[in-house]
Amino acid sequence: MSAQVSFSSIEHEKARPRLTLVPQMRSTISTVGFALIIMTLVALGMGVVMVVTTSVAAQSKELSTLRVEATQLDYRAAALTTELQRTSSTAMLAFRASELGMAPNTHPAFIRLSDGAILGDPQKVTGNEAPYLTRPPKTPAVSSLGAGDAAVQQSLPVAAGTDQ
Amino acid sequence: MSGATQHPSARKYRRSWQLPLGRSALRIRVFMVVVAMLVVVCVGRAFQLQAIDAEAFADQAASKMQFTRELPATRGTITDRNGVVLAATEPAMMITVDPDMVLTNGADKRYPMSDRKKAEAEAAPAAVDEILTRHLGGKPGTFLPVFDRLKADGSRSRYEVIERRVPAQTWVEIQNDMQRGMDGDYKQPWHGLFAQSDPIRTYPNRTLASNVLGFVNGDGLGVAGLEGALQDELDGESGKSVYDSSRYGRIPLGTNVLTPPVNGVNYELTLDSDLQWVAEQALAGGMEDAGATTGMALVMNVHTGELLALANGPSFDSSSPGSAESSDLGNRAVTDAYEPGSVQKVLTMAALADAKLVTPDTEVVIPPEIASGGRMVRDAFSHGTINLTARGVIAQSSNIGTIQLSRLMPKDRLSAYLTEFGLGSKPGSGLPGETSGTVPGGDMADYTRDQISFGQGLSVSAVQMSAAVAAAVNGGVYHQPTIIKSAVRADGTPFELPEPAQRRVVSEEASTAVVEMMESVVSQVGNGTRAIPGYRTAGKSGTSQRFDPTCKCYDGYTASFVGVAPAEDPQLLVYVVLDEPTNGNLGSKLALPVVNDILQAALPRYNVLPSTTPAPEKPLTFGE
Repeated sequence: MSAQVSFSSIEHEKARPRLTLVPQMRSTISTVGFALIIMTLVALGMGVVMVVTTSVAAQSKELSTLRVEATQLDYRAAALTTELQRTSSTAMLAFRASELGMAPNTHPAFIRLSDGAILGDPQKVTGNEAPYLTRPPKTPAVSSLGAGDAAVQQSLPVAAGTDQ
Repeated sequence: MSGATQHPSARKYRRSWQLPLGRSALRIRVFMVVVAMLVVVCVGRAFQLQAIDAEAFADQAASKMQFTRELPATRGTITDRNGVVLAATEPAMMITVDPDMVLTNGADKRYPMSDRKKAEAEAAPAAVDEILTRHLGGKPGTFLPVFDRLKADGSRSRYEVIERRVPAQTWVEIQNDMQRGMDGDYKQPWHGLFAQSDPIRTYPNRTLASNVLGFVNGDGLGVAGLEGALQDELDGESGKSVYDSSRYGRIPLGTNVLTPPVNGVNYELTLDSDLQWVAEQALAGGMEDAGATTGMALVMNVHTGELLALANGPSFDSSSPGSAESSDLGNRAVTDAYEPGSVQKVLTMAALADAKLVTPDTEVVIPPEIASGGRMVRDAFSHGTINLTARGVIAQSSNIGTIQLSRLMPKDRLSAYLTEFGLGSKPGSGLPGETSGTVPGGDMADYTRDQISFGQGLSVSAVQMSAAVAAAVNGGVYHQPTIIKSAVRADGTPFELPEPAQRRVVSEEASTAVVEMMESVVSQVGNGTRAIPGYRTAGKSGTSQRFDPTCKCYDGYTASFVGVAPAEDPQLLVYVVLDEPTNGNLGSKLALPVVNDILQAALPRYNVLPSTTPAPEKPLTFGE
């Protein structure tokens, strides 16, 4: 027994570990820190997504409101354009002109701008020169003059045209 | 451990079943197998949904979520040569009502109505009726019967039309009033009115050029005039909007495909709306003075063939064609053929002058009557044997003199000239329903040639005649009459139109001779009553007998006059035709004043300077 013991102590002395360089241990983040960082990133990402989605939805709503407003303004513009076209029609202008007391001029004259010469014979109008322009238009009714009278006035040869 | 050792005095252990779960390797294997089966099922299902039957499922999903809206195209506008709008489209709505919704004010049927809702439903019909009558007109209570309409099975109607073609701006105001609701504070809106697009075709100038423009029917399709002839181009193509939508509105980042509509082509006509109005007024006045049933007035630019005015009387309002006689809805100036009468003498003389058979001074001895085809032809004024120059024949409008001169030319040559002048074939102006008229061929009988020389025995339309006389007076070149000046697509690119034809018909000398003869009609006959102040004009009257197809006989007259000005260099041609006049029948008495009225307005408008030289006095007779 003692021999075994002494043998083991010698072995122990011989087996004393030598100091060797231990490979450097990689530094690891603590688990808690890691989890916190990841959670922060996730929260950040979700936050951004939420903001973007909400703003897209809000802009989309704003867009459709503006679209509706644009359409309504289009309608108003169209109504005003139609009214303008009606008011500026020739018949309407002529009517307004006669209301103001203007008369159609059938004796126009020209001023030649290069030398100021007056061409034509300007005359004062009395307002009766063009009654067909100032009186309200009516659908023409066939005159009560008998249709036979006209034929009687001109005795016609058969199947030949007459003219004057 | 199972009790394997059998000790004689051992306790008896009950044999118990034990599952072989103790070994973790087996547990893991079983678990993996189960998971693998689940994955196979899922992948298989995914494969089936996405790879095998993808289209059907995608369509199903899309149909629940996707909506397609048609975007109607705007009809093209028609303007005159100066940009004045003659036909345009105004956005408008067809307003419909859901009577059931009005009577319950849009309450959700699944839940009982609260007291507040009941109060709204009580007040809704009267309120909606008040809003409608305020904006659409009518006495209060007009629309209440509409809300009470029932379906065939006795339940309340869900759809009734209130009014069509309500301007969109009015609909916006109606909507706003509906939104305001019960107390005007937008908190309790009224429900039940809906609208869909139903555009109005507006004709801001009302009756102006209505025969040329035509009109549209209830569906907005052109059925007459240029609206009908150009229907395909004016209509454009409707577009489509495909988008995703859910209960809460449009899905922002979903499908959003927009095919924009292609609006119709916009047309610019050669018409001058102010001159058109003057022509229509003058024609209406002339028709009334003459007691004519119908009339036509044309103004043409002789150098280009453009129609500056095309008036028909009686006319109508394009926005309410139903209130006019259906026979007045067409364009007689292109569709009706008539015998032109003595205006035809202009063309006969042009042909003779071009063939160098006649000059204005050619001497003609005219008997009191002439034999033609077994009958005797006389002039409108009785005379003995007279000596007239060719100029005098035109000035006095002698039928006999014209017959004598036309007999100098072979028949087929005369027929060929008339065909070259555009008679007997469709003018191709762009207006629909053109008639080609009739011109006898070269194999005509002798008496037919006599007749056509002074304008009976052939038929023409007013547009044909204007273009033919324009060719005779403008230096001898025939220009195809046109009504459409240009066309522009909705995106601004020009729309191709066919080039109008032009050809030389007679020589310049012949044309000058003809104008000279025509001027004598105005300046040397009628003692100055035929002229207009400030300008030298030329013209020719026509009074022809009118063929009545109902009695197949000649009954009534057509009085016409064609005037060109200024005579020293013709620019404008005005042709007026009055049909069945009852106050006389002479073209020079009835139609000439209308022509002069129109010329007086047209010449200064187109910057034609007043004539500086007086009309020449040339001999109408000879041998004195």
